[in-house]
Amino acid sequence: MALLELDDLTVTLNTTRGPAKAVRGVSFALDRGATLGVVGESGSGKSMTALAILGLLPEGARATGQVRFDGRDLLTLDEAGLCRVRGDRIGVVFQEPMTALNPLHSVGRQVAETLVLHRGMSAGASRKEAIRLLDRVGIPDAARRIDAFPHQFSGGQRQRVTIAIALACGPDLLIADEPTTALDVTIQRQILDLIASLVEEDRMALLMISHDLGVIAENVERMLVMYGGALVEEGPTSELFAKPSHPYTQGLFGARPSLGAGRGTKLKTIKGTVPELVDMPPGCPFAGRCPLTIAACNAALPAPVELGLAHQARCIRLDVALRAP
Amino acid sequence: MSAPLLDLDHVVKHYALPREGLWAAPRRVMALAGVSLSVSAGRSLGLVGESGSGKSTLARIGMGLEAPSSGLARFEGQELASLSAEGLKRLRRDFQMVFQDPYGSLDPRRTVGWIVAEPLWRQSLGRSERQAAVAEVLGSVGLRSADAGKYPHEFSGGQRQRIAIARALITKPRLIVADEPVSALDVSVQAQVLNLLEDLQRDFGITYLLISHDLAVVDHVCDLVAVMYRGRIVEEGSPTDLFQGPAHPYTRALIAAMPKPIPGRRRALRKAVNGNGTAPSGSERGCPYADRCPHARERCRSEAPPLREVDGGRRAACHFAEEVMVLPSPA
Repeated sequence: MALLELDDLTVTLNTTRGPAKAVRGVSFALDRGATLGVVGESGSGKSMTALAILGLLPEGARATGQVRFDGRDLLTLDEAGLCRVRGDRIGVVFQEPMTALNPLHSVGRQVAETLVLHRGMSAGASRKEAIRLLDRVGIPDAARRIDAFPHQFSGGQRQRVTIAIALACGPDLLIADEPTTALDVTIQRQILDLIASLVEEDRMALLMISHDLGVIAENVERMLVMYGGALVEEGPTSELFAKPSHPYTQGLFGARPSLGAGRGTKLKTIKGTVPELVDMPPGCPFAGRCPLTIAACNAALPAPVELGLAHQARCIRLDVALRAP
Repeated sequence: MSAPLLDLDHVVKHYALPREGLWAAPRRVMALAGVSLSVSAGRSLGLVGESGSGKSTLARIGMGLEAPSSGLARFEGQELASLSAEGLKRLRRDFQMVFQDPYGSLDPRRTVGWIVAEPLWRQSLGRSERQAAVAEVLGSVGLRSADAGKYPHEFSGGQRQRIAIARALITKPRLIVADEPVSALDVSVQAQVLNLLEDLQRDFGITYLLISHDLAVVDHVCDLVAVMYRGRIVEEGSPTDLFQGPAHPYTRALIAAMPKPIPGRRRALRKAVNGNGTAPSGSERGCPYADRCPHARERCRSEAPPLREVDGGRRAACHFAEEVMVLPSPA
C-alpha cells in the first residue's frame, strides 16, 4: 500500500468573482521511501495540493476527493486528528524560513516544542534532543546556539532550523514546498544536499515542490507537471526529461535559459499568461495558450494517455505534439 | 573602441553599522573593496554574486544614487560625485533602472500612463506629446496604448515588468540598470522578458548592466560577466570563457552549485561550497575566498591576489588561475 495516495483531489476556492477550482481532480500515489517532485508555475495548484494534504487550506477553501495517508483519509480528520499527524508523521519545510519561524522564541524552543507535543518529552530530554537535531542539520556549535533567536541566523541556517523541526519526530513523509527559492545558489546546493541525505538516511518519502526544473531533476525519481490546477503530465524524472510530451511541458523546458546555450539564441516563449483561476478554460487548462489548440480541447479535461512505463500526459493532440522537434 | 559609457575606478564603499556601545566607534562594513569596471556603449555587462556581495551597491553607485567612499564613478567621462544635484538630474535621463519586484516598484494608485510618463516630468512636454510618447513606448514593450488608462493590479507579473521597462525606456536612456529583472517571474514569462530585453538592445542600442544571481540568465543576455565576492570582482570575462573554463574557484563553485536539468546528476556531486558570500566587517589579509576555497594554499592566506589578466581579455583574482582554468568542467 502506498504511503500517500491522492484520489481525485479537488480544491475549490471562494474568490471575489465566485468559486474557482485551484486543484482539479489530482490523483497520485507516493510509496514509502520514494521521492516525488511537483513542478508548475504560480497558480498551477502545486502548493494548494500540499496544503490540502496537510489540512492547512485557507479559510473558505473546500477540498473533495480523498487524501489517504497510511490508509486514513486526512480530509475526514478533525483538527485534533490532523494535529497528531502533522509534525509527527508528516514534516514540512516551507519557502520562507523567516516567516516559518517565530521570531520571539529561541530556535531550541521551537525544535523542542514538537518533541514535547508529540513525544511527551520532558524539558531536559527535549532540549538534549533539539541539540542533537540542530547538530545533525549542520548548525555549527549547536549546544551554544540553541538559545539564539531566528534573527541571529543567516537565511540558510534558518532553513536548516526549519528542517530540524520537520525531522524532529522522524516523519514518514517530508513535504518541501520551494525550500530553497529564497536562498543563494551555493546555499541552495547545501540545503538540497542536506535534504537528500536526510531523506536517504531516514528512508523518508519526499514530496518536493518547485518551479525550478533543475531542482526537480536532481532530487526526485518521479515528477508531476501541474498547470491550471490539473496534472498535465507525470512520469519518471529521466523519462520526462528525455521525452517531454505535453505541449505545456515542452514549452516549460524550452523557455528556460540554459548555461552555454550562448548569446543571441531566442528563448522559446509560451504566449500569453496564466489565466486567473476563474477564467480557466473548462476543458484542458492550457487550451488557448497552446499552439495546438483545437475546438475539442475545450470540451473536457483530457484523459491521461499512456506514453511509456508509468509516463502519461493529458492531451488529446499528443500525436502532433510528439512530432514537434 | 570608444570611451566607456560607465566607468568605475577603484570604487570603495563603506557603510557604518549601528553603534554597539555608547563610546565604541561604530563598526563598518566594506560593501565594495576597490572595484574597477567599465561598460562600453551598446554592450551588456552582467554582475553575478551571492546576496551581500556588493552587486546592488555597485549599481547604486553607478546610477549616482550613492557616492563612493573613495574612488571615481564616471558616466561618459563625467564624474558623478562632482555633479550638482541639478546636473545629476539632467544626466539621469540617460540612465534608468528596472527593479526586481514589479509589484513593489509600481504605484498601485496611479494609472499605467501616469507611471510610464513620470520620468518625462522634467521635460516640458505638452499633454499630447506625452501621450504619444507613452503609446510609443508601450508598443515597443508589447503592450497596447489602451493599457495606459489601466492600473497596475490589472496586469500579471510579466506585464508589470514590461510596464517597468517601458518607464525606463521613455527617456530614451543609453544605460539601463536591471536589478534581478526576471527573478520574481514565472519561467514561461521570464523568457518573454529576456527576449524583450534583447530586442530592445538590438533596436535602440541600449547598454545594460544586468544584476542577477542566475548564471543562465546572464549567459543569455550579456557580452561580459563580472563575478563578485565580498565586495570585490573575482573574475571578469566573456560568458563563454567564464562558464566553460572558469579561472576563479568561486566561479567554479557557483557553476557547480547551479541545479542542472539533468536527472540524477546530484549523486555525483556532493561537495558543496561552505560558508557564505556576505561582506566581512574588517579588513583581512590574504584572499577573501581562501577559507571556502578547496584549492587554497599557504600563499592564499598571506597575500591577497590582485585582479589580473589571465588569458585574452579575461581577468581573475586568483594566484593559481592558470591551474584552475584547466580543471575539468564543474558543470
